[in-house]
Amino acid sequence: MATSDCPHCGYSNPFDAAFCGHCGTALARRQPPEEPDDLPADRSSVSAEDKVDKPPGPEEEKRAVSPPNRPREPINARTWPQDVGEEDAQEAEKPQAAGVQETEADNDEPEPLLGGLTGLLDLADTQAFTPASAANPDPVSNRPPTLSGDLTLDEEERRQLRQLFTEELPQEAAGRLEEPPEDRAQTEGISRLPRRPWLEAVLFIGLVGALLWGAEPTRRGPGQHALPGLELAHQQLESLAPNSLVLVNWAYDPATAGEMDFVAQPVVEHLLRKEAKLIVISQLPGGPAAARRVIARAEDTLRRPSRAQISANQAIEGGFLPGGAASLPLLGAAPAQALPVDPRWVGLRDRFDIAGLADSGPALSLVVAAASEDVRRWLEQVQPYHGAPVVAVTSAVADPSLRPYLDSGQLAGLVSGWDGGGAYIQRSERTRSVAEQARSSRLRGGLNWGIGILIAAILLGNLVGLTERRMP
Amino acid sequence: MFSSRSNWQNRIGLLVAAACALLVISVRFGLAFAPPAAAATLYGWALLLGGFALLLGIANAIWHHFVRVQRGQREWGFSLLLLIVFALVFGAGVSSPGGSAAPLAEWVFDAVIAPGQATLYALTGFFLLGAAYRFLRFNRPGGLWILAGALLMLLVQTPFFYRLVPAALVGLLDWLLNWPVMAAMRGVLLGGALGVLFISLRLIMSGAK
Amino acid sequence: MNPFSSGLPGLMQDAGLVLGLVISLAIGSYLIRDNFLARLGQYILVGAGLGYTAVLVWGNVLWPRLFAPLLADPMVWLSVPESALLHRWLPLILGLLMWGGGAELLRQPPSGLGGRYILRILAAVPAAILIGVGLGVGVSGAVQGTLLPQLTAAALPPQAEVSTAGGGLPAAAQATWLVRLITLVITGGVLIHLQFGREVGGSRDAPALQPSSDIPTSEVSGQGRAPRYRMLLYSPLRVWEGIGRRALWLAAGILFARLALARFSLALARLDYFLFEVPRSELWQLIWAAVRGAGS
Repeated sequence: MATSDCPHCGYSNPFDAAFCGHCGTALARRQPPEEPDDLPADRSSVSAEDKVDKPPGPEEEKRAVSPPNRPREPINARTWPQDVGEEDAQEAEKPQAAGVQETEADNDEPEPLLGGLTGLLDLADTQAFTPASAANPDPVSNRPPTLSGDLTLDEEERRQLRQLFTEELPQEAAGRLEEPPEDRAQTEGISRLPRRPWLEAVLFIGLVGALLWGAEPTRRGPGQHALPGLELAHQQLESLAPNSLVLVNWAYDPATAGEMDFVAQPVVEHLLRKEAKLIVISQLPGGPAAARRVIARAEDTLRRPSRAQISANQAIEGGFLPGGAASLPLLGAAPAQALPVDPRWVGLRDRFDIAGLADSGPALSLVVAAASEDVRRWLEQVQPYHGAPVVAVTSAVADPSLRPYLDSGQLAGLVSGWDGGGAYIQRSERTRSVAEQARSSRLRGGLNWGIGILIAAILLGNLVGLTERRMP
Repeated sequence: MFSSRSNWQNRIGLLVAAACALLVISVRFGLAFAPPAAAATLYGWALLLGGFALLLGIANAIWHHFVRVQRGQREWGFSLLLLIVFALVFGAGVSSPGGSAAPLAEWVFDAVIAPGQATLYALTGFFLLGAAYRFLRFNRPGGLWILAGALLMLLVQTPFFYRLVPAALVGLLDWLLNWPVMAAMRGVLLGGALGVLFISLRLIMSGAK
Repeated sequence: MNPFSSGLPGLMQDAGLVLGLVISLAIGSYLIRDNFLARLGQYILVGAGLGYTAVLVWGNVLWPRLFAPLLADPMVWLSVPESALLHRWLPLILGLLMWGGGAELLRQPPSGLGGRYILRILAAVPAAILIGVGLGVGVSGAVQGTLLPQLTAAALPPQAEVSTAGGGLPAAAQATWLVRLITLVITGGVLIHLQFGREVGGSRDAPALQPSSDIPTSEVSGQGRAPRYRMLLYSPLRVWEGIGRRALWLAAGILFARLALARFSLALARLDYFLFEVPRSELWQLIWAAVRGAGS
């Protein structure tokens, strides 16, 4: 696989990567280096082991540093820490005769249209600003989309901010599995993760200690702050008539269930209390099973007589819709065709009167998502068809990205994060069981300590930064 | 994805893609080029083809690991383990009448997938701390603004600090979330949507040509 | 006991608990350093995930939606030809082409025209359909679901702000007007920053009005009115862009805080599982009792 070494940290990135997967430095868009003509014919079929084991000869090293046919870089591409003026000078020095060829090359490459912090925010909210199906035609590969970014920010600033929001482990771990051995061998030995083991140890000890001994009584204090949008969501659910059809898009799986279950369960309980009929679909393989578990726990909490009976009457579970954004509009255009099929595929479509769904749409759509992209996709692909109000129940990190939709009225309510879940329970005035209260107290204590350590680390980092600056 | 194919393949692919895209767009915008049922049919195809593509992707990954085992490449033992686990789970699921909702598949979900995924993602919290220590500094570009936003939000969303911060600060955060932050994120959304629009239209047009 | 796997014997339930704990600990050991156990856990996780997804896709999508109906009534196209052809047979053919093309791509490219070459061409069709539909819904969704509603919300005044009969505005409405104006300015500033940040001086490394390759030399050298014109145009734009940039920074800070909350919640939930949920299980109680018994 062709790779491109990061000019800042040396990490080997795929050639089509716009940013370094390790440090966030913007990478210049280049064509893969061509094989020199003077190489022997069988050189291109050198085995991966050979490539790894043989150190590059002096001639090869020279070629790597200054390739004879230096590929042309797009005018807007910048590579930190390359000097801007130097790059402009290089552009100016290009012979006029090459202009025609360059124009043709420009026509082949799409103009960069997105820039600035769009790229930065993307990692905090993966795939938030690119069409999932277009950017990622292979539904199995879970790589973050490459960004077509016009680099309009200070590169150093962008690199630092991207680093801040990068979730390193999943990319690292997932990437290693798919990485061909030759590429991995090239990157081994490079310290890729700027980790702070002592900080991680402090956090680990703090969290464990808080869980064991630092539980905070639930009844003490005002509880969680309800961010704007929660009250609207509660009102929306409260206004549902019995037997209303609610279309639920379950867009999270066990990876984020540790947070999302806290938010989703109170809302599902509220829906069940209102005797709404839930039609649950998911576009994630782990989604249907995660939904089953939360619905079952919600039913247990409501002390329903029999799970099977409730499920049979009140919820269609287990719908998995592959195809990403391309298949999602089917839920609006032809719901009967799209509706989930029971794992045992028996008589499911007769269970509810879903003919009404095609005529008037659901009374409410609920999107339970770990990423804002899933909510956005629903608002773009399904809501325009039936216009039913949409309530989003999301991870904490998705909250700011969804505020514009709440303001425009496309979202009828927004509950986000662990604090949102707690506030929703308070708002619903539901009494918690002893076990629930104990767990909630532990987690509150843990969160207090975790955030406290984070704030301390930030302050310490700033102090260290000041010291470093003053040192000669 | 068409880059490694011949010109003919590229042209056919682009033409088909452009035709599908134009049909969907015309139906969504109410243009009378095609009946709405045509778009619904395409969505249905996308659903089923998505399933086919998923299975193809899985087969590709399995093949990749099979080749690693066959050639005795690095970490081939891990690949063998992966293949064995895959075969066991797939065999158990397919042989059960309930499929993915059968007790055995549910057991795999509860015993392997759920704990594994949850632990993997739980680790990210620890790495976040190191990044915050290193980069969330006031003397970096925009550092003061970022720090102010982060600290304000951290204080209000933490149960302990929430009791201590004055109500005015909580009100300020709500106001910031409702207006300036919302407006900034709207700018990002609009920029992103415009980008998606132009890139997609360009691709469609190049296919139509 | 998990209600979803309750049909299994108790031994399997216990084994599931142990397996989950072992895999969690193995993957969690990555926190110390990348090691053999962490890799082992990840490979097991990937293998199980692939198997589970394959079962789900087959059992939940392809079999019930396509293969089962076709097998139940293979001659359905005779009675309802159009529907059966569009919803069953064509997707089946396209899907098989996709599979055939995928298998074909694993082999060496064909040397000349022939069946394999045609298969490769035909395999592009289902992929192109997926991409084309994705592009179509992406464009229409971006316009219908984001661009139009967001532009409308940004540009139009709120409904409560209808002016009174006397021509004046109530205080609350005036405040809302002000807030609306602020949001409009910020949104515009962010858009300017994203698109023209460098040109209007958004970057410290690239001060405004820096000569660049696309500006004629006469303009750069200050001859004529172009530089003054550019300065007049760029100064307010730079201020506007600065407002948008700072709002983005503020949003990034808030986003980071929410990210921290989300990730700490995940870590806490997992630690809680290790510290409280596992020890509460029957198997653990049994082991613990045995250990204590042996100790005493």
